[in-house]
Amino acid sequence: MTDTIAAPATAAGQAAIAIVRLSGPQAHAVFFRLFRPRRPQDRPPRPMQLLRGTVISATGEPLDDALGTIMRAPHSYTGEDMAEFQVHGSPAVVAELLDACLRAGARLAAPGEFTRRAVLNGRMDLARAEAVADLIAAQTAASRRAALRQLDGDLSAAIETVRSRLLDLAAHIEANLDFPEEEIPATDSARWLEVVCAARNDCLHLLDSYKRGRWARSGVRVVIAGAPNAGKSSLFNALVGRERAIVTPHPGTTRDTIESTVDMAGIAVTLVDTAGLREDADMIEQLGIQRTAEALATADMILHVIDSSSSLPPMPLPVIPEGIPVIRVMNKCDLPHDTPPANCKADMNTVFTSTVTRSGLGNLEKLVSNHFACEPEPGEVVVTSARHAACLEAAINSLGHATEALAAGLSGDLVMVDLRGALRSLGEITGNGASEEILDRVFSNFCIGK
Amino acid sequence: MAERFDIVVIGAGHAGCEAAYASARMGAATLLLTMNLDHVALMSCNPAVGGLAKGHLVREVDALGGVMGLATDQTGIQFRMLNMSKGPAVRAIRAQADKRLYSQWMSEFLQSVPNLSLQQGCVSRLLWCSDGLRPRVTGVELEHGERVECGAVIVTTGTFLDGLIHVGDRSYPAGRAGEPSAAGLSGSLRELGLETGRLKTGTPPRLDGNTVDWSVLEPQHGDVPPPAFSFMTEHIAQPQVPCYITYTNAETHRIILDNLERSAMYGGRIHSVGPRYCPSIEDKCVRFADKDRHQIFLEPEGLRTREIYVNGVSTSLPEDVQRRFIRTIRGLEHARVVRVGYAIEYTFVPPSQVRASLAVKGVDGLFLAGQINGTTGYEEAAAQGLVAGVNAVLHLRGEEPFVPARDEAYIGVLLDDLVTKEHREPYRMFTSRAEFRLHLRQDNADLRLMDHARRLGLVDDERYARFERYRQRVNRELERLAGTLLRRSQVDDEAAEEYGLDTLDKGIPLEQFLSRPGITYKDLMRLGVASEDLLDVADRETARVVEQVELQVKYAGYIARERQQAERLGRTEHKRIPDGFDYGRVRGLRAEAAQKLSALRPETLGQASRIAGVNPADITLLLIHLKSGERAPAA
Repeated sequence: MTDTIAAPATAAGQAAIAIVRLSGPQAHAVFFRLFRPRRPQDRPPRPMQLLRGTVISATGEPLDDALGTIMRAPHSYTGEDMAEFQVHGSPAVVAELLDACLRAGARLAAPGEFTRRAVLNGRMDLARAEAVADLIAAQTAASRRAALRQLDGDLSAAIETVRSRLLDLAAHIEANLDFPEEEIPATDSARWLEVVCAARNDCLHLLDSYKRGRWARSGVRVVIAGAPNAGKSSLFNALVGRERAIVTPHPGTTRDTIESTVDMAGIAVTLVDTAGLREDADMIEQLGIQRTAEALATADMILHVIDSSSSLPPMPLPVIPEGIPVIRVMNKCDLPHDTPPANCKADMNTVFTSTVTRSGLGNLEKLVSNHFACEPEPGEVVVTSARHAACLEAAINSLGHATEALAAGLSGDLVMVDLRGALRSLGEITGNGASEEILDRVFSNFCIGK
Repeated sequence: MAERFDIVVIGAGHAGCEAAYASARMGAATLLLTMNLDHVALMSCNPAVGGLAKGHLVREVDALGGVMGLATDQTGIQFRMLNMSKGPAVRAIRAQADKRLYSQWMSEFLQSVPNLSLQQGCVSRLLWCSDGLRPRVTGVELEHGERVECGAVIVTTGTFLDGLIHVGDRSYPAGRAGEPSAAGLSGSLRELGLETGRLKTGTPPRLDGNTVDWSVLEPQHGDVPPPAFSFMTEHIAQPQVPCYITYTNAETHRIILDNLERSAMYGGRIHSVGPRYCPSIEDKCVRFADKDRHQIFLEPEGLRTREIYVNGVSTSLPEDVQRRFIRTIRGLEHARVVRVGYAIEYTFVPPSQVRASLAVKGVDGLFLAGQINGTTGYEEAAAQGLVAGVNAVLHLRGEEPFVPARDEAYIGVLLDDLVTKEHREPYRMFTSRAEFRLHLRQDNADLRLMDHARRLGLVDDERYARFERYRQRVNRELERLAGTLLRRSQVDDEAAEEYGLDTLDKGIPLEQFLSRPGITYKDLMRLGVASEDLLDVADRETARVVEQVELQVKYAGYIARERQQAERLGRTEHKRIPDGFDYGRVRGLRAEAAQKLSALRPETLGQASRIAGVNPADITLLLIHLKSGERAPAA
């Protein structure tokens, strides 16, 4: 086994204590990315030692006080490196923690997978194995019931719509590959590209609903970045000042940024000021840039503050992960400027503000809170399961590769590698396999045969 | 006193010939029985070998020392590499064979093989003893009572087992047109406890080529030079001829639809299932009514016959309707039908009853290969024949069977699909069935399989030495490309600009350069950084080395991703499930899974995991149960 798996080890639902387990070569690495021991001398800890500390979410938020334990191979349940978190048993906390584990490089375990590893590594005696077998059977039945409930309606239909369009496309590609002598309509990669992009957008949309659910549960992180003296700190203070502060500003415990959490239209927004990083005389420049990059990487949104009175082109941000929205805040618009600000056209993601006259701040807040709006629109399908979100993410990834392959004009056999990957990931949500379905469509859509 | 052989092969079609050849090659005294010695390896349907996935199988059979590739190379009259504009994994050779020449060549070839005897005769029943719990096959009895003793029997009956031909409302027992069917044997199979079923296939009418107006038809020529199937073939010597293309039209469709009730299929006289990918022309007209024409290939059946195979109009309509609709087709206005098309029903053994080795479960020394396992196609048959021949010998020696894995060969995909899928129609190979398609290419069949062939004794020293030299040249060059840097200083300014190498300061590995889109090995030659060993591209082996190196470098990323996506169970793949395992005893196993597993009786956890309706949790429960059993003291 080369991959690391994660799963809750306790039953779903409200309980006093919930346990999330990791097993595999990366188990300890993932664990320490998410667990901060209270006592520094506990790093590195002894195996089996019960540690007190804090678990942090994927966005770097402290999530819960927790207990943690690591176990070294082969002295663990599975016989591999393992780690366990014990957190308070709220479903939201468990979902967050699991999400964080997946983001940190673990994969969601299939039902019974911990046990399978234990059995394969010879870590299970007869009596225990039978007891565990009963448990897996019960869990499978339970998760199937849960899955059925979840899939009863809209999500299943939404996924099937996407799958069906991809299956038609796959059938067309496969028919062209396997039956070159039949009169299969010519391939049209521009149309295929459209289909794949549309499918990817649909998946992104669904995943978005999961993210928004997460935002509602545990808040969002908005990072303020920009050139020195662009007005980052003033903006931070102005935004914090306008709102009811949930926590008083404090130096970050886990990073050297100034953070404050405010309530914007019902969403807990943690504002992160990266100011001071580059400007701090005591700080080595390089370290500051590094910290800014880290803060940006954990952001749900970035406010790029630009001094609109300066005729210099705005300093570009460091590389930020794909998919994180950036709002350009044209600050200091109360000051006169000789030339129109360079490289700056007003668009959907640009706001003009002045922290002196306080103009534009309301617009900015509206832009932020609208983006994170949690209420699903009527009829909107909402993804709530971490497993489904992980499958969607895998499908989006595969469809991204497929898009590139199609755009580059690669042959169908290469495009199909990723198209099949996407179909497999989506099929894991609805419980359908792809191979026979593609063939079925080939023969029903095309007249093939000697 | 009955004559004794190690192995008896029943049927000398494409499965039987490979089975007998492999078994004899491995040193087993082998008898190949056929109902007609003049019809060895006869192509009952179209005179063609290969095509997508099927051509892959032929290459694999060749790499395993089989004979189909050689036979086609020696007797083919048109060769084409299909899909040249697409990726290397979906390229394949398709060849037109001279039907009579193919049969003669195979017959002559097999007669020259040591340890192999051919004999005409029809087997009326199998002989077995049942001393212990399970029956053990001991020989066969021919129709006049003569007996032959043996250690193992391979049954390759094709469409002959209880064959029933249908033309319109007429039906009569036959193995194929003009030949009797084989009765009796299916009784033996049922006595041994095997369940049997019925499948259907069909063939189109044949025409007198002298009555076709070739001048109005569009010819389709083969490639020049013709590509060969066998890695052993130096060049194709016999003359090459074209095929011709024509189309059905509205009038053709009208005649067919007007007479639909007279077709055996639509008249309700055939109940068994035919393949969706080999529809009759009746089917095409009904199911795809919106198509105003269907393509037809006119394929010559040989160089010394004027008979023409009409690819595309397989039918069970009565003779008069066949003659009428044929004459509505452009170029065929005066064509004479010299053999009518027909549908044929035959008995098969649903393949959940064989192991992946093609040994029948619960019977010692009985193997099935080809259409009797519910497959269709000469190539699928040949692949199974080879596997059955090898495994019959290994069985006699008491050794583990040879079953290539799904990531090793299309043959592996075929065997695994046979035993893990429920089959509702004859099984044909498609490249889309292979989850490791980018790796299972026709160009690397020898790299994938030749070591197996060597270990099993299917290739001789000379052939293996040649292969070893080729493989070493490929590997040496792959290592050199990975370990050699291309530097800016090595190229002149013009080339640097053309290849975008201007900003190259530290240099890039040649491998990385070659993997760029649009760059081929020829570019390395132009830049003077190709291997000294590979400059003579006119040399056949060198050309193959260059091709192989290029493909492996260019598709490495995709092949790795394909593997990552396809791999599932890993270490549990080969964990064995004992014979006669009682799934009812597995604690917690869902009823649906238990039922599917009991019906298909997989041999390994890997096979079990690929059965529709069995999920990962079921596999874990099964694994726990099996592991527990291992540790429990013997009861």
